[in-house]
Amino acid sequence: MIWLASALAVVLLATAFGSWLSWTATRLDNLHHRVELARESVRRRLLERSGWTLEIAAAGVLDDAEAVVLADAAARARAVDDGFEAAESDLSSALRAVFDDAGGTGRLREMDADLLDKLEASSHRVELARRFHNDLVASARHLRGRLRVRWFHLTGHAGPLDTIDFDDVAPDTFGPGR
Amino acid sequence: MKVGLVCPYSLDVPGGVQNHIKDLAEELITRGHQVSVLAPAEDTDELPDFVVAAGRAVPVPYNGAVGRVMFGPIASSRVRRWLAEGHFDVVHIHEPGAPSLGLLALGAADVPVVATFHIANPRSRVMSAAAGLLRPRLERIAARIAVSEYARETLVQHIGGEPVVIPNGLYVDRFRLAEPRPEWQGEQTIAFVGRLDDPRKGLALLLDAFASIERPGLRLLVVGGGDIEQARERLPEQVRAQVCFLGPVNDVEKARALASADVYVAPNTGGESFGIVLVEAMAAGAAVLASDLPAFRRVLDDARLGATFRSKDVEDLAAVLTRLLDDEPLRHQLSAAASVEVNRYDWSQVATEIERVYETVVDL
Repeated sequence: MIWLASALAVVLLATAFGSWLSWTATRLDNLHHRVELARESVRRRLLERSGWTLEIAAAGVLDDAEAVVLADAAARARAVDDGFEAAESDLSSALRAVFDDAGGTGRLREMDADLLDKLEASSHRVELARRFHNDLVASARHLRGRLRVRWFHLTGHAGPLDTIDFDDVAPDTFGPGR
Repeated sequence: MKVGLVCPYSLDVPGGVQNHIKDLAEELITRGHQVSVLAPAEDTDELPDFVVAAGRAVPVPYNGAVGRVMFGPIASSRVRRWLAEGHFDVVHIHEPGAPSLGLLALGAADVPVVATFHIANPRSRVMSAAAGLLRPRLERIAARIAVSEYARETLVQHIGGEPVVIPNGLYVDRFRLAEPRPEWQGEQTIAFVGRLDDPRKGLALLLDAFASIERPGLRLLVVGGGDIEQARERLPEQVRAQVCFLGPVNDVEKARALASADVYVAPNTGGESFGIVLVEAMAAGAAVLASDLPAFRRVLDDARLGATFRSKDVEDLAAVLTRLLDDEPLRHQLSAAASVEVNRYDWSQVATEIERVYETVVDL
């Protein structure tokens, strides 16, 4: 009788442990999937930002030098794929160079407030998307660091988890959000 | 956009989180969104029509105070029904770590979840323990918002990641345009807002400091619920007539009380993560004097927007208060700087930032 009870207990424990592992693996898998989606969302937001920057450069509102600086930085940011962070940081500093003195922002607001609103909003959305992506990466990394994940190779073939880090500080003159 | 807001605490109890949610709901509705707020409340309670009552709340000690929260199978099924009927694009949960509706909604929601963290308590072991337990749940959040730098640090310490800071909002003009009430004013007037019997609000400190400043022309306005008789007894006989207890007044009267004050004093001893009432006083044009809690120092931008004293130190409070009352140029300098800064907290800005968060997660 005792051997039957012990066998039953062992089977029950093993089942519970197994479902705990499988639950953890599902959790990790979900996180990996969401990190992918978040990464795509960051890239999409970046394309929006450089797109509006190009439109503003072409709108004939800014002076020629400002327009060239913006167009150059935006075009470079759109051209690179690997190591896009450096190019996007450059675009952020180009935007600040043009819009940080209230002059550029003020002139653009007078000429084409709608276009400026679009750029403002997309600058802030870039920051949000990047932060939300990195939040997910932090959660996934934390889970990957657990003993059960490491010992039982629950990570599978998923690649490395990198945060996205670049300078996304919007010009001071750009309304809410900092 | 269809937005579902989840409030962890009873709406009939005043509090920073509840007010924030009510204002946010109204502001989002004004902007053309469809909003439903799920909150602990009885069906029979008188509620704004955007609120769905989840049932009776139970008082539970949480984060060092007693919160009126909801959990259990009935709450659970109400949450699920609200989610199913709402067809929300985004669900915005406040204080998701609180043992209440937010946590239940987090478990049941299948749309993107935005969460706002109001609590700040970086050194709390309890919060660390809770964070470990809640981690699988908190992983489901798509976007995390902290209401202050201080709350953000707490969050990073316990969970990690890069939450965004979006402060609590207020309608600045409701305070800026509030009319002073001459009958509440003395030669000079001090104001206090907070529950009289909550030691963390620090009224006793202010009363002791006030009694030690012997100035017959000075008035003290005390706004907030609690046992007025007990509070009055703490004062020496000769100054009792100078202190005016207004009780728990409505928002309009509170704004007028703040507008009547030369100095607003926040003698809180702890438990504050943001200090919206400081911003309200700043908007009403009062010079602010607050204890040097980290959350308050952040709101006051160290000492640029208001003066501080050493927390729990009655003598220091009395000294700084006297100095501030005697130095009119300093008061003006502080309130002038503050009146610019408060626009940062106006709903016109704060709601735009929150909308952008919604747009970002819906896009995922």
